[in-house]
Amino acid sequence: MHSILSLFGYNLNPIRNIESSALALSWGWAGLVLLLLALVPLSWWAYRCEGKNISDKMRRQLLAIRIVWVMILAFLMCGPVLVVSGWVPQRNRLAVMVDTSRSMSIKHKETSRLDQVKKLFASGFIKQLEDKTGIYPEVFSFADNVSPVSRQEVEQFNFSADGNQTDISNAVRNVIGNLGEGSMLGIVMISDGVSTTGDNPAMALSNIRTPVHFIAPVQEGETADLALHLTRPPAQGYLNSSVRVRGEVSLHRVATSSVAITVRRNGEFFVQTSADFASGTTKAGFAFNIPCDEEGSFRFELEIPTLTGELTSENNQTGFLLKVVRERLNIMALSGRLSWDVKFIGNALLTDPNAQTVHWAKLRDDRWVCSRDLKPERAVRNPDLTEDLKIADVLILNAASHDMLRPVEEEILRRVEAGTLGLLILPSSQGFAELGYQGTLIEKLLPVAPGREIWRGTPGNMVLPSTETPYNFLRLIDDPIQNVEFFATLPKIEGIYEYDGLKPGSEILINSTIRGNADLLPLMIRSRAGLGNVMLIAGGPLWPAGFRLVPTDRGFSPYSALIVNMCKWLANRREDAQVSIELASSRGYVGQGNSIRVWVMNSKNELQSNAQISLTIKDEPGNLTSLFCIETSEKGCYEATFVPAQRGLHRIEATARYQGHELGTAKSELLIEMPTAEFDEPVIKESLMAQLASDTGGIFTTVDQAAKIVAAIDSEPGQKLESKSIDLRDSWLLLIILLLLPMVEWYLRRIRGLS
Amino acid sequence: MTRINRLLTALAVASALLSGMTMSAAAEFDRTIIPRVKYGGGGDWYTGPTSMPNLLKQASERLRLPTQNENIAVSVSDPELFRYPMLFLTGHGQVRFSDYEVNVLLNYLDNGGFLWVNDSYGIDRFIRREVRKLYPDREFELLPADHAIFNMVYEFKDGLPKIHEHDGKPPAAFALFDKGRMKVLYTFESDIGDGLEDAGVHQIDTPEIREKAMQMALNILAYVMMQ
Repeated sequence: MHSILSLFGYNLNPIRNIESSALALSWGWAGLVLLLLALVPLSWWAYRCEGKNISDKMRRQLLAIRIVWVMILAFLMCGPVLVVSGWVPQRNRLAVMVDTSRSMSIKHKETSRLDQVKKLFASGFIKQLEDKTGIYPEVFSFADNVSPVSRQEVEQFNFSADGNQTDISNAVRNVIGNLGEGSMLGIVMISDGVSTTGDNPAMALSNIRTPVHFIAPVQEGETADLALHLTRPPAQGYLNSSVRVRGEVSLHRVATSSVAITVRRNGEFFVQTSADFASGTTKAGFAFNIPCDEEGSFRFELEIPTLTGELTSENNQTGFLLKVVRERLNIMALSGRLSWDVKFIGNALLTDPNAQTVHWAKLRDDRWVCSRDLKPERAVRNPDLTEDLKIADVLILNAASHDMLRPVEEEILRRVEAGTLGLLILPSSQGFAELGYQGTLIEKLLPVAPGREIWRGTPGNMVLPSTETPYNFLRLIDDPIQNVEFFATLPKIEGIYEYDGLKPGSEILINSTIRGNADLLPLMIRSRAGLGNVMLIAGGPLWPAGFRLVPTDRGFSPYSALIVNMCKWLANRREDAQVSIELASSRGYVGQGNSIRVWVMNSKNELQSNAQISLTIKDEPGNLTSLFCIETSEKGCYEATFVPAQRGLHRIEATARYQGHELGTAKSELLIEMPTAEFDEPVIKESLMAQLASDTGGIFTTVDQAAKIVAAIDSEPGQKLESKSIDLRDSWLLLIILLLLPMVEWYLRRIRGLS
Repeated sequence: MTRINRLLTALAVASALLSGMTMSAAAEFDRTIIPRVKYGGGGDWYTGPTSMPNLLKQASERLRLPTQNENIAVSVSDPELFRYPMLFLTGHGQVRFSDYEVNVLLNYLDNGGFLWVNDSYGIDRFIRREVRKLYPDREFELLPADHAIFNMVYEFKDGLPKIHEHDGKPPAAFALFDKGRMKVLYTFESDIGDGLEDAGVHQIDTPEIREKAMQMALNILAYVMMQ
């Protein structure tokens, strides 16, 4: 068929052998039949017999020529297309991927995993692959990302185990994307199988058609390992209180019932604790308290013993930075009427010895009563609230009408936007409309649009929107799933106000099931006004969530913790009123980006756009790094990313200038640690690699049996099935036939004397 | 009236009813209830059934406090005790709490609850004994006339008012403080509870006397909610 089509002049490249073909007509087969029905009578009429006698033989010849010509013409008019499929030869490719993450530096009997790879390459592994397949493999290194490695670099073994994380799924996808899956003979991956980030490799590799062969650098041996991890280490503590540090020690091939953990503060012995293992377990938690009895920044280092010949000692130490600040948590509540919620919030706050409360409530007419640290004072008439507001870190509004707030309204707005006052708005029997907030400065601070409020007076549970909440005050229980369950089982709230929608930038912290389990309503909503935090609790009451837990084993303390920590978060203290540094965490890792945000305000305490930020970071040896800050979409906020090169305490200083004038300077600190993710589970993942190899049609072996991989790789020349559409009208031979047939008929008719 | 007019009228009435329902539901948000304590020992814990509903009604009207104006009784051992942040205890005689009840009551008071004991007459000896069980190292303190509780919603320059005469003794307000917070208030020889009852229950209580009782009771409620 290939020859016939070629004879007609059709271009079949690159198909060599036709596997299948199919004919199609643009007008369809029905079109062809209709065309024939029209053309055959027409041609018969055009060449009808004039009455001369001709032989039967001649009649048949003329008829045959005419029918063939008409049929070919009709066929071509219908737009015939021939779709042919056939095998196309491919240039074979073979990829070798070398894991260069830090876990490859783990030593087994004095030889690191990467050194084992070096030995493999030195033994001629790449040459063997080349000999077997006839092609030189494309070599890649992978860890955080994938990089091609030149032939010269392979020969010099220019690999170093310095990647901070491993993403096997992404690495394989990248290589296949680069080389094309159709031409791949296979991928040989030399790795310890420790994938610390990205998708689950078992899921990601299940869809690829290229065999992935795995080579483990060493056999899982008898080497023991101890690993130390911290669970969300605290970044800040408050003077005269204590913070609790939790962590975990894991064992691999170590038989012990207890591991001692030594804690040092600023290099000096601080405390020793232990992780005690139950029989048959390989992981045990530990915890200790740090009393915050002194202001300042403290560097804590934790260490567990290193065993002789241990797999790695990188995971035997860790650390964090704790900043102890003087707690001057002054909370002021303003109530338009008495409230059990405010009373119990006060009860909770006073469980923190650093908190001070003042509660002003309007009882009737112009008669107000004040309670300081929950000690009620004699009632007074028309008090001046400005002095208490001046020192307040958090303001709680409870059914406070706009008339009550009018004298301090501007001050509240200014201080919230400056970040020196957090605002907590409680629900009341009156909505915002009745309180007169619409169209006022206070309305600007609300996280909701109060245009339409509907009271939903049915009981409902609390629901955390996500298990991994970024807010510490919502973590009442360490385990995230248990934490969500805890909130869901708290006593129900009685009702909630439903609003038209949230303002841009607002965030729901807790939902409620008041309208239904599948149709949640926001209960606790936060927003940011300038540098300040605003929290609205749209329903309630909240106090039964604490008081009704008292007779249970949970007690009042979860409620106290929620209220106290929420107010601390709302207080949002900053070192500098003009310029402030915001860090996602006080701890970062070598080689990983840390976002540093700088907030700038001018002398009028307004957020300042178009400021020039000078951000310098000094590491422990004294090396200075300057970073360029880019203004973000949030007014007055500038951001830079710092990728530290080495561990240790880094001092950050940000100076803001506007039109040549210095606006202010802020300082902060960041403790950089070596990332431990690569060492969290240092054991070679033989079973995972065997499963991945099996799923993709490859094989798994160890480095000493790499010849099995060479033997397993299919060296057949590659080819792939391709399809091609050929327009049958595009043929010079067909054109000649179409012209020739009428000419032959004309000639025959001429010699017989026909018209 | 045309059919359309009737329909529009029905819709208007329905929407008015719905909006009324929404508002009334909102007004009942976080309603205050002050149950009386149903204690053991044989004393008449049930005396003066209209006193608390009347107080709550006035709290709603004068202090704009959402209330549930019902006479509810709760025993200390009842798990529902922790639904109510304030308790009222009154009677004329013996009061006795079991050991279990003492523990529960202590837990209740230490975590934000409040107990107002009203001496209707003859309760003094028993209530002092029971409160000593709660806080053995604490004594009732006599509240001076300039204490804030006498100057909250209303002013009582002479301290606790005399509502109901028994032995001719002067009225006195005793309080038990713990960790800086008043946990128990004991109104002695005043019988504010009697003065809170419906008019006509105690013929000798004039409207002025009853108003004094109500004002003092509102002061107590305001004080408890502010501390």
